Amino acid sequence: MRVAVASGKGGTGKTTVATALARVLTRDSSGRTPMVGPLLLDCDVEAPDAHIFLRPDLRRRRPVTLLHPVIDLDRCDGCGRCAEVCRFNALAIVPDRVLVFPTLCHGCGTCARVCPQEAITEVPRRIGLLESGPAGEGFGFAQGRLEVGEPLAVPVIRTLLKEYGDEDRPVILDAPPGTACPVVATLRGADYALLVTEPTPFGLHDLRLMAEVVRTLGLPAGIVLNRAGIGDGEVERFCHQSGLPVLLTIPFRREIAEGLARGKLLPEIVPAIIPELRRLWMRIEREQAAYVR
Amino acid sequence: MRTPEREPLRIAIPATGAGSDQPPDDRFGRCSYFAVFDTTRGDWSFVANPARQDAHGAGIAAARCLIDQQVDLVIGPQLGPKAAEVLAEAAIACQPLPAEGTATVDHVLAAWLEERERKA
Repeated sequence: MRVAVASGKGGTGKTTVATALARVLTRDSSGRTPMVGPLLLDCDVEAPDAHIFLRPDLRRRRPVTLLHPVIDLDRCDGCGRCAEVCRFNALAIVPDRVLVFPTLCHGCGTCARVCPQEAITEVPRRIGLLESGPAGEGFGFAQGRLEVGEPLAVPVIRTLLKEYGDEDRPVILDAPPGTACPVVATLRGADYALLVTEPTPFGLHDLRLMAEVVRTLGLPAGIVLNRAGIGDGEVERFCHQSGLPVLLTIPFRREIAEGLARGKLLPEIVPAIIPELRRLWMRIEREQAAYVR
Repeated sequence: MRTPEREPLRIAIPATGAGSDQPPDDRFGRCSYFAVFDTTRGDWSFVANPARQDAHGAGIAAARCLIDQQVDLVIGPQLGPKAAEVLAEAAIACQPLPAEGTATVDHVLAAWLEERERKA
């Protein structure tokens, strides 16, 4: 079971919910360590922050690479087919050479296939990093990290999911904010989308976009309403109308903000929420199973 | 590799429309047209910018278009680093739009011709 915690709007509490849910799953209701503990994957590779709360022992690190073309100018006759077929404009034929812009290249390899002179070799280039290690007993953790200056988050997210996303244990994906490609890449690796929102016009605006994304992807989804008590009732009305169940409500309380600012996890700040988070997980399992049927 | 042969002095100005009475465009990579003036023939041509809808690398594709058009000089807005690199490699010079008198691409060209006259 893989649950992506996503939101649309940034700062609604994705990491708060993802880390809280994962932490609660490290113990069963009688306080024992379960047979299979949770795995949290921080897919917000442009700004991974779950590690700040979980303090994992990141003992394993390896690079994420993407192929890009390198051109043998002794073979190249400047025909320009490579630049013509590149959807990302990563190549330009100029007098006496071919310019390659690696940060635009998506590594598709079309240029190398069409080159009549076979002058193009695809060479890997490091664009990011995977880091992994335990965040406690039976608590797995891994994150992707995009190199500074690199624009493509998706290949790093895909590599992270390919490497860890199929483990047979509760997998929680902490998604990036927004509704663009990195979020879609994360959701494609999930069986269920848990959408964290807040009862404000901004929360509602981005929740509408998010609801459309999960519908398009055919993914079952439920809502966590964070900072309940501020704003108005429009988000709940929208959830009701669109058939999105509100699975958990977290009140707007100063002690929660203070605790999070000190790096504490939600269940440590508000122990009363532990059984609610446990019920949330069971509810997600039920909802997901019902959706598949 | 071949080096393209060039007609001397073809000047490109990013433009919002296909006419010398159109204002210059304040974007390079995603401008609507390139107004190209051929100083040897003394006439304008207007080339739709193939990159204007591109999601990625529009500056590079626009610069490639100017290489194909055998342009020698671009008078236009600030270029991004990638477009500037392509133009520099192709030995296409760039200069900014004048501070004033930029109502139409015709005005921009007139100011450039005047400046050239003055220097000669």
